[in-house]
Amino acid sequence: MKRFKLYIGILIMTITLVMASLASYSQVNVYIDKNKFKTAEKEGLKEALMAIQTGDEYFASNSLGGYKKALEQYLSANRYNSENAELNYKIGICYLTSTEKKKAITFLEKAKNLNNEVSFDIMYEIGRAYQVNGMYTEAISSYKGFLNTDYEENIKKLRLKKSDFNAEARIKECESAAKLNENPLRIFLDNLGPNINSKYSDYGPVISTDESMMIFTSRREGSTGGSLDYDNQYYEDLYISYNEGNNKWSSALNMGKLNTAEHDASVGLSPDGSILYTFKGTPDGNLYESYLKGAEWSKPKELNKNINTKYHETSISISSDGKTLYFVSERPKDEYGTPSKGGKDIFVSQKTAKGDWGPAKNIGEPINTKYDEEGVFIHPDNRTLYFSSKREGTVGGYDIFYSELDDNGNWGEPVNMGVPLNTPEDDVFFIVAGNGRYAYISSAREGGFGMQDIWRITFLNPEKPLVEGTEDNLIASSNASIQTVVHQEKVEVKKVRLTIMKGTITDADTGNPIESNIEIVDLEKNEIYATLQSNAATGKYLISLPSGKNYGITAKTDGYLFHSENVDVPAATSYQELIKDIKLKPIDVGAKIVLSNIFFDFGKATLRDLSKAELDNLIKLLNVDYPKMVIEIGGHTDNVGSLETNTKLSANRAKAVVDYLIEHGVAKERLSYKGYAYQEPVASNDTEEGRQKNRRVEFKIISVK
Amino acid sequence: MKKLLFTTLFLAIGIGYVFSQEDNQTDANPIIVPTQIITSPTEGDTLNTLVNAEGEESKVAYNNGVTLYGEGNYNEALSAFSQSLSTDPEMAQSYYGRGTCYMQLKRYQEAIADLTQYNNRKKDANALYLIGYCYFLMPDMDNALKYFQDAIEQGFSNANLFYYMGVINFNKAQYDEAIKNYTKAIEVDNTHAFSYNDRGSSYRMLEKYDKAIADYAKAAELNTKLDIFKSNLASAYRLNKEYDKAIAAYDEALQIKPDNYKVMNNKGIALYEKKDYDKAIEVLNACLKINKDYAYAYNNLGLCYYKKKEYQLAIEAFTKAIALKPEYGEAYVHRGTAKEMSRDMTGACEDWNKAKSLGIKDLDDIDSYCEELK
Repeated sequence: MKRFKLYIGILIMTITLVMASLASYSQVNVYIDKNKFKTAEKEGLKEALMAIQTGDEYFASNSLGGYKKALEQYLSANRYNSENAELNYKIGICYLTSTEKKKAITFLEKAKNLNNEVSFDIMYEIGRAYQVNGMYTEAISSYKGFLNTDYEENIKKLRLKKSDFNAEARIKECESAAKLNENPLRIFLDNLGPNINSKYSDYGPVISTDESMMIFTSRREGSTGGSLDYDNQYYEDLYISYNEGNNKWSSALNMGKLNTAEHDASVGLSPDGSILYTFKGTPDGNLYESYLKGAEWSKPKELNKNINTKYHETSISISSDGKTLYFVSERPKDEYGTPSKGGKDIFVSQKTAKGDWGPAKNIGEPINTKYDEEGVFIHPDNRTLYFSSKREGTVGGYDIFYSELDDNGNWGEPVNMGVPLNTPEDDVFFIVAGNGRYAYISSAREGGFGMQDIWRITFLNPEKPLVEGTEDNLIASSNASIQTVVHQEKVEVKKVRLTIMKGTITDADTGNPIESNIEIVDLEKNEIYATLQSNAATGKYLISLPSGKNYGITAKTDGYLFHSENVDVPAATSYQELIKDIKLKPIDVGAKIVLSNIFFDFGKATLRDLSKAELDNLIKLLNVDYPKMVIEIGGHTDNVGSLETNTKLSANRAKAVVDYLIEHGVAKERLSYKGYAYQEPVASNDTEEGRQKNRRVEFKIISVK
Repeated sequence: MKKLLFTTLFLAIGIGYVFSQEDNQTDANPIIVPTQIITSPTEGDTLNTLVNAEGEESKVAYNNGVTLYGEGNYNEALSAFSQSLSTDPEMAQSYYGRGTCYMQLKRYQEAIADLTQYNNRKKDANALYLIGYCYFLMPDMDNALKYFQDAIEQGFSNANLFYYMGVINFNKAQYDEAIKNYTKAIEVDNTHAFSYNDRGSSYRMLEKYDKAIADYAKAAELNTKLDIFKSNLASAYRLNKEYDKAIAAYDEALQIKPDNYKVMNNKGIALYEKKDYDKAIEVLNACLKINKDYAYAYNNLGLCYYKKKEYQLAIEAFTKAIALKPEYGEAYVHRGTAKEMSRDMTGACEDWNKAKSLGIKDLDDIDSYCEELK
């Protein structure tokens, strides 16, 4: 029975180690001697001993849930006798895993004072208590004290893992933390509140890049199946919540059909929120995907064999163009035969021409190390990779790092995100919003609702220079004072270079939402950057456009005229959100649309190469979709210049489009053109923005047949 | 007698400046004009001394002027010298005498004109030095430097001259040149504490704190009565991040002049930089007991509370600093930052914008930042 329990424990731990951000816990279960525990007071002794016995059973489970329940029992026993070293030790250990970590110091110190041989690892545990509370000097001192004991002999005698008592590593962590603490990260950390968090473990948040939707994992009461797992927590279920504005989240809803009686955990979400990636621990830890179709999520489907292997695959993130998957795997080598760097590594897979995921490649150094990497997240800017790692220089367990892709396609040296974001415990699953200003993380911190909670991080700009008011009389023969200003080094604000375009696509006549294909083309290269779909039930879409490209965006669906938009995002453009609701016009006589991605040389009627993608759309419409359609191309200008000049220019431009279409096989009888000059403005000519809208090429359906 | 007279003359000039200079805080570093003359700037000349009049009207008037000057009656002395010159326009000493009267009366242009008349007749390097000194006091540092150099070319040399040239260099932020002149002053007079101090300050401005510390220590050793040397020594230690030594030296300066609130403020800063915020707060409050209107101390108090994450107390302290010194841009920045951490972004942005309007730089990010977090 004991062996079976151990096996189950290991199995479950493979799931929850990643999900719940656990640190490794003490394996020492000290024995509380009844005779030493009892006092002269008889009343309450029996209940106290019972509580200790129950507590010990929970304690032995070596899990978050177990320690939480054990603590309740031990505290009950402590009311009878608070001067027992062993009990104080155990309470201290339980508090170490709780959200009230400061109390661990009190109880562990007391245990040591009552009996400095209460457990061979008492100095180590006191060190941990100080470390998790950010008291690094005291922690180092305690760890050094531990190293001076005969701990190795005890570890051997008790058949414990030496790595669970690696005081040298802990000292290094404290030193790293102290260094990072000199320039702490300027953040606000806000608990997402009771609509998201519960007294149970809530973790693994994934968000759409505009933060409108969040999916997370919870082990709260009411989980599918309703039973408790080995670690005294309910099985993992997926929950969803929507942002109602001002960081207020709707009451989390169980995702119903996506959940099973087993563990169902969220590990990734596409930036537009339409593809959810989940993790299932059995049989060998694999990744699944589920699509949002209308209002329903499709049944999770296991990703292909390039992604999932007999080894564990645990976290995943998809690039905003949908072409690259980053994921974590324990496989010993990649599909190209390159050996892994050690432990868990981050791998990359590219989407093939057939739309499937290609062979996985180890992302290599400097991202991967001989230590474990975990919790990968590619920001929608496609240039910043966030991940957790146990590499050297962490403040303990997994720390969150980021690396930036340079213009040559190389990943930069990973940077520790710093404290207080990183803690001495495992910090995994860190998700950053598109704007880069906000991020989400789960951890067990003071001020939470209990166990793991989901928190929102607000990144503040660098601290403004703090200038001391100081005066010295530097010239001895003068009373005049000199104020010397010690200038701080200027800190650059890291800017996210990303544009989010979002809105709804609806029928122009009925206003009903439309599930439309959205094709995003890099106009300079005339190649498809990404394709996605609007949601059938809501018509919503969200496109992530990293800076540095001129994008042509076309929404097209059967029975409607395509709609095009031009979004030119120069490289230096900082984060912006564009709201664009698109109304698709049904194919009908008289319907007309603006061809937004047709460009001419300045003041001329010469088509620029950038126009090719848009013209190809038009050719497909006329040659493939509606081979009998007759159209008119209309040229329009702003009101700068004479009517005569503009009429001529607009007519010539319309003619240039018609000529191109004829060259590409459209019968000339189906085409006509007209120069309208500035006589049909669609916006005011008083502003540059308005004039730009007026300079356009339209096409109008004359007949469909 | 001659020596006594000149000593009196120039000490009087010095004292006059000591009392005329306002002991106030300044935003921009001012041009520093010495307010204390160390010793007589001239040696061995025969000027402003009584002459044998032998009944000559001009000489009688001149002698009268010298006597009145010696009594500190500069206006009457000036009249007497003028009377002398009205009868004998070529009497060089009377130009000199009247020039020194103008100098005492801070009428430097007139002083320069008379001293020039004197020099035209006598070709005296001492007069060139005094003309330079007048320019120095005006202050017109370029002309001062020119006349000091002319005086040197004509063989005039003393520690004070080189010292003043060093001060001019210092004012122009020519610290390497300043160091050379202070060094020459020390070569002429190796007990010249002021030159050690100012050379230390030059090293300080060049961030050569070890050398600054050595010079300040020497100045303090040579002159144990002035607190400035210990205070500067302490600040050099502070800038060198030797906080314990800095605090000890500030304490020694405070033993010399216990009510020096600026020194106390600086000690508070040393404690702040040492991250001993509680002790810093204690010292800064003591400083404010001496001078309750010292805006810098309130600012520093605010910084201490800010570092302790006691943002409301920080805001209160910065508010006091601003009330005392409405143009105190840095205090607005700090109050804004304390409000930012109190999650009052509206208040923070108001303060940062005010600071920007007061000329504080490096606030370029505030527009977009405030828009994002409003």
